Amino acid sequence: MGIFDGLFNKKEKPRPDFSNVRSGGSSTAPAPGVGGPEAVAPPVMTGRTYVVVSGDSLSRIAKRQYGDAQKWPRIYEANRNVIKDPDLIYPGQELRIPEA
Amino acid sequence: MRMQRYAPVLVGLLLAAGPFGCSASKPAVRTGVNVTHIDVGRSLTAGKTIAEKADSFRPTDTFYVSVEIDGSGPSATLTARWTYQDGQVVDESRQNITPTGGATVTEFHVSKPDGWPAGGYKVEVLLDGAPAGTREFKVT
Repeated sequence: MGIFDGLFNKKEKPRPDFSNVRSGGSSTAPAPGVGGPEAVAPPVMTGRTYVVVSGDSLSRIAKRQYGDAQKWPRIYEANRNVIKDPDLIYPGQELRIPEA
Repeated sequence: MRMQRYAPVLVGLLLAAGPFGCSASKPAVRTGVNVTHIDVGRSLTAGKTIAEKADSFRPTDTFYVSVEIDGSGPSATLTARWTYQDGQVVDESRQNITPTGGATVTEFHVSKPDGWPAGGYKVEVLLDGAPAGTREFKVT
């Protein structure tokens, strides 16, 4: 019994959960289309983009970016051109993250 | 004797082929904008450079990566991809910027309210999708 314990009772270490990671960023360089004499009616944007990873949802991204999952409509509204259904986003999709 | 006779011919051939042979092994050089410096640490200065460089973090730390680029262009996209030792992507975010000439600094940061798992981490920086540098660090 003891011999097989190590073989059959070996439990895999659970993978760490990074779903609540919060991220951000900023730059000393302006975002394209913001500032400068050639800027034409700039939209309110920071130029920050989030890349969807497996397991993401809009509320999860809102939680990570704003600390509040309820703010997901803000991301949805800013990305209506790429999100047809707020329940369907795909890994690799680039979403613009408006300022909180 | 025979080698001596052909030596000038061989040298000539090598010189002629030189430019073509070298071009294949030259690293890709981006015109306009280049990443000149990447630092990782646990705090930033007002100029978005790293105030406290580190390669070992505590679980409660925020990880910062500061990327200095040089040059100018209409736009550039910087990406920071953070991964854990098991290959999981912890976070990937991008910033679209307008390099105005001279050095500009862009920072990315990640935090985890319930603490980072101990282990090895890596942040890859990409400029317009091309790898620009990697920094590895650990959480103990």
